[in-house]
Amino acid sequence: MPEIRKLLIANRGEIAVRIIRTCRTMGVATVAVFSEADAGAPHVRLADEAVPIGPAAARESYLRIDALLAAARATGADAVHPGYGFLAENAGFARAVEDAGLTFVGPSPAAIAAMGDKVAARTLVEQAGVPVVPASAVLDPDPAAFRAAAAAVGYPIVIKAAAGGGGKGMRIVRAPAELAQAVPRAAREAEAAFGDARIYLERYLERPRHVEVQVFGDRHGGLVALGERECSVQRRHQKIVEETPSPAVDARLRAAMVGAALRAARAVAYVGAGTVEMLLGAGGAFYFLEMNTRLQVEHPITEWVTGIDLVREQLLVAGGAPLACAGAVARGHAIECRLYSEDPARQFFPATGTVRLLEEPAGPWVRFDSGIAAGSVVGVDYDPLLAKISTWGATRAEACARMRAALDATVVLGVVTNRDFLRAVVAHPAFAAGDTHTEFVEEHLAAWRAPAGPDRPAAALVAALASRRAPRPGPGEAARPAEPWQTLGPWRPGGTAA
Amino acid sequence: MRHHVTIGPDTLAVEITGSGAETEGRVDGAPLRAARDPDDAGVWRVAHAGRTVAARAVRDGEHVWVAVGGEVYRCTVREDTGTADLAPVHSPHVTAPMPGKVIDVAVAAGQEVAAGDPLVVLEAMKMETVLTAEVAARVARVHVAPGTMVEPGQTLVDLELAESAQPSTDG
Repeated sequence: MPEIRKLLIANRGEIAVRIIRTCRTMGVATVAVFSEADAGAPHVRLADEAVPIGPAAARESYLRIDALLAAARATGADAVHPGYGFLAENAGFARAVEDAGLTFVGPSPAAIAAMGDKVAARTLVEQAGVPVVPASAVLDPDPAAFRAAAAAVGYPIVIKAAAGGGGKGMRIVRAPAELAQAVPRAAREAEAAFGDARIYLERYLERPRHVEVQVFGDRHGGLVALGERECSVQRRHQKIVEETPSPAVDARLRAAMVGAALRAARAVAYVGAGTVEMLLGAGGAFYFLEMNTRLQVEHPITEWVTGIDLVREQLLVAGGAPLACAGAVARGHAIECRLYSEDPARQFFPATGTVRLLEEPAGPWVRFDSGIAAGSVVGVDYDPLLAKISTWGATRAEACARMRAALDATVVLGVVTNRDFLRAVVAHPAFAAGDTHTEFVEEHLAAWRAPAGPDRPAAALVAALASRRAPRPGPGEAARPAEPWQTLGPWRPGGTAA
Repeated sequence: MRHHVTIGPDTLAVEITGSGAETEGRVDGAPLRAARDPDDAGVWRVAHAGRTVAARAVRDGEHVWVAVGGEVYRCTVREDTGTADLAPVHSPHVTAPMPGKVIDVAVAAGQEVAAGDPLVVLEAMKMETVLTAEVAARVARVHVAPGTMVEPGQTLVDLELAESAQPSTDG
């Protein structure tokens, strides 16, 4: 495999920005792709070159393999990074990239396919000696079939998409009577999210922790683990707060979980960055959940404690280099909060709008990964993740204190965000005690409402004053500086464009 | 001039006296003073409860967003025209928050619902979301059926609100 010189990033948003930043440090030229909705997006501005690939809807742009390969050909890119989401775990895409003579920054198509079918993956890792949760095969979307299988596995159960991942299509069922509603609904969500309505069920563990192990393989048989991340605090079965190390994992448990993760990765001859997700029960028993064959959203916290740039490592390994990160020692504690455009007071429903003002947190041991800027339109076509805020501390308490300050300093006007909810999570005594599990939000914060705040009267007065001005630009709005990027024309910051 | 400013579930009565650089006002009866920041037109300095804070306001369609004291407030401002007949805080129209498809309709016209009862299940952004009644009400009319594609703001269900759900006009 030749060294990568020019990388096409088949993604958007914060992860595209983050990948481009590492390329800058390595002298690798970058090609962004963008839909019509993203023409002015930060990842487009930041890349050395940018290629339009279609309309806003993902299936007409970011999911179009032909358009992505054409963009790579047109720009002379020699490698493709899929980011996460979109086509990152699509074996057909990885194969198409390789067939086009380009380097795919990720594992082999065979490894992606093996782990992508969640039911087959379970069998595969079970044979490799990794513990799995009792589960059914793929079943007809018929409540009667699920009733019989659930009786065998034992309640509560969770219905999952066979093609799944990311919590989409998941339904927890505690009694047989709920199956009549839950089964068709789960099948519909699976179809909508993955284009594949196949579902199955498995035993649902009460109040487990979600703990995952970062693994990294190279093309020479090298395979290492880079510690664990705990991602228990979730809403809608999707992570919102992650940390490393897990407060529940001691050295002995870590060794056991890392051993299991490496066995799972070795079973598919894994190359590149991957994550083995597991559920950890209260008694210390753990079970394989799934393997994500890509860079994980929450990878920055592993970077914080290991000092390794995981994207750099991905590019080096994809270029044929042996692993350089073996022997990494984790130091301190890191936390990440995901800033979403969503309304926590309305079942975390995604919110849309235009970012009118963005104040980013800064300071020692604070990192802000985002793909938005003032003027960014947050629409319905893409994931509502606005930014990832991560902090590091020598201790968990120090990382938490920095996170609280970073959240306080993060201001977004124009779009409803979950910032205040994240503050409530991090400030909660149960979180401070490290007592986290996947039902943390339902158990502790189900009744959460936005705090009134001592300055609410001041806000009301200023809102009334601001609204008195005519809708046409008043002195205040006229004074708002135009974004430089809107007036700059086709110029882009330099780099090592080929 | 009097305004009603709604923040989240609450509505505050705002009275503004004077204009120009310095403004005096009362919010729910408590006195405040506000002055535009001379260097930053989007910012007001507000003195209240014995301290002074800087508040940044941005107008955005029907809302005014205000950042003050590290908090973000999304405000809806209505001018008090003196007729004391303000639109209800709880709208009798349940609307779609974003484009999507109606998956299920849980109520029928004439049905009584309690606060929190499911009304319509909507699929948007690959997720199903249950729209619930904010307050106790009677279902007056259902405008959609399973399979209906809806646009943001489109009315799904009309409710007849109980009297107690109407806002009081004294703020």
